[in-house]
Amino acid sequence: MSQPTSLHLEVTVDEKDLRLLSSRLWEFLNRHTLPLKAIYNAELVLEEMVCNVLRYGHAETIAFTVRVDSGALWITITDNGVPFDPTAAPPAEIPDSAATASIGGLGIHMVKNAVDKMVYHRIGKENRLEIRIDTEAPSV
Amino acid sequence: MYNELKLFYGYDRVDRVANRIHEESFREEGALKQTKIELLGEEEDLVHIKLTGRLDTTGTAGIDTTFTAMISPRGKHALVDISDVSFLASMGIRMMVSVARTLARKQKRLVLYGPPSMVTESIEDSGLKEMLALVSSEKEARAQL
Repeated sequence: MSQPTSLHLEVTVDEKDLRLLSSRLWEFLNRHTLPLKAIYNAELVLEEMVCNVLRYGHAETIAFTVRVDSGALWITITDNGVPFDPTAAPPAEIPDSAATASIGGLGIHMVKNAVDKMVYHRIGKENRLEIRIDTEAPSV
Repeated sequence: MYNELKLFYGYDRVDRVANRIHEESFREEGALKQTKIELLGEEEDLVHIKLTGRLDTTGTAGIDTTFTAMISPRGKHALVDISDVSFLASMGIRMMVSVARTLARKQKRLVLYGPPSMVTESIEDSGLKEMLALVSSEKEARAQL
C-alpha cells in the first residue's frame, strides 16, 4: 500500500508542542525511503523556524506542511505573524573566541546552511516560507 | 545493545534488514528520545560529562541549568561526551557556547567529543566548530587540554 506523500501540521502557540510535532514528522518521513540526513534537516527546519515564529512572530496560527516528492522534500511554513523574511536576515555573527561569544540568529543561519533552497513571500497578512531539501536514494 | 547512532550515519553501509530495524527504532523513539545529562567523573582539573538524546528546544531547557551548574562553578576544563546526542538545534549549541565562554574567561576549555556525523554537520552549519573544540574521541579531547 502506498504511503501518503504529504503531512500537514497545525501549530499552537506553545513550544512544548514542538516535541510532539517533531515526533509526527519523524514518523511520517521514516515511512518513506529517504536519506536520514534529509529527515534530520527537515526536523531542524521545524525546530528552528517554527520556534522562531513562536517566539518573535506574534502569530495566531502557524502551519507546517511537508511533501515528499521524487528527489526532494518540500516544506511550506505559513503564519499570520509580523512580516519577517528569514532569507534576508543578516548572517549570524561568528565570534572569534569562546570568551567573546554572543550569538544571535544562529537557528536561521543553521537552516540556511542545511537546506538547498529557501524562498519567502508575504501574501496578504501571511508569511509564507518555502523550503526544498534535496534527497537521493540511499545506497544499500 | 542496538547502536542507533552508528546506523544513523552508517546508513549507506548497512543492509536492507538493518535499515528496516533502524527505521523502526527511529519511528519508535527518534523524536521522543529523552534528553539526559550524566556526570561521568571529576578529576583534579577537569569535569567529565555525558549528554544523551535530543538537544532541541525542549530537551535543552530540561538540562541547561544542570549542565551549567556541573561545569561553571568548578572552574575546571570540561570534557563532554556527545556520542549519544541524536539531534542538535541552536538552543543546544547556545548552551554549550555559554559554558565555553564562562570557562574561557577562566583560561579553561570545553571540549566536545564523539559526535555522530549529523550532529557534526549541525555544528559545522552553525559556524562554531572551531570555537567549540570538537574532536572524535576522548583521547583526542584530553589532548586538547
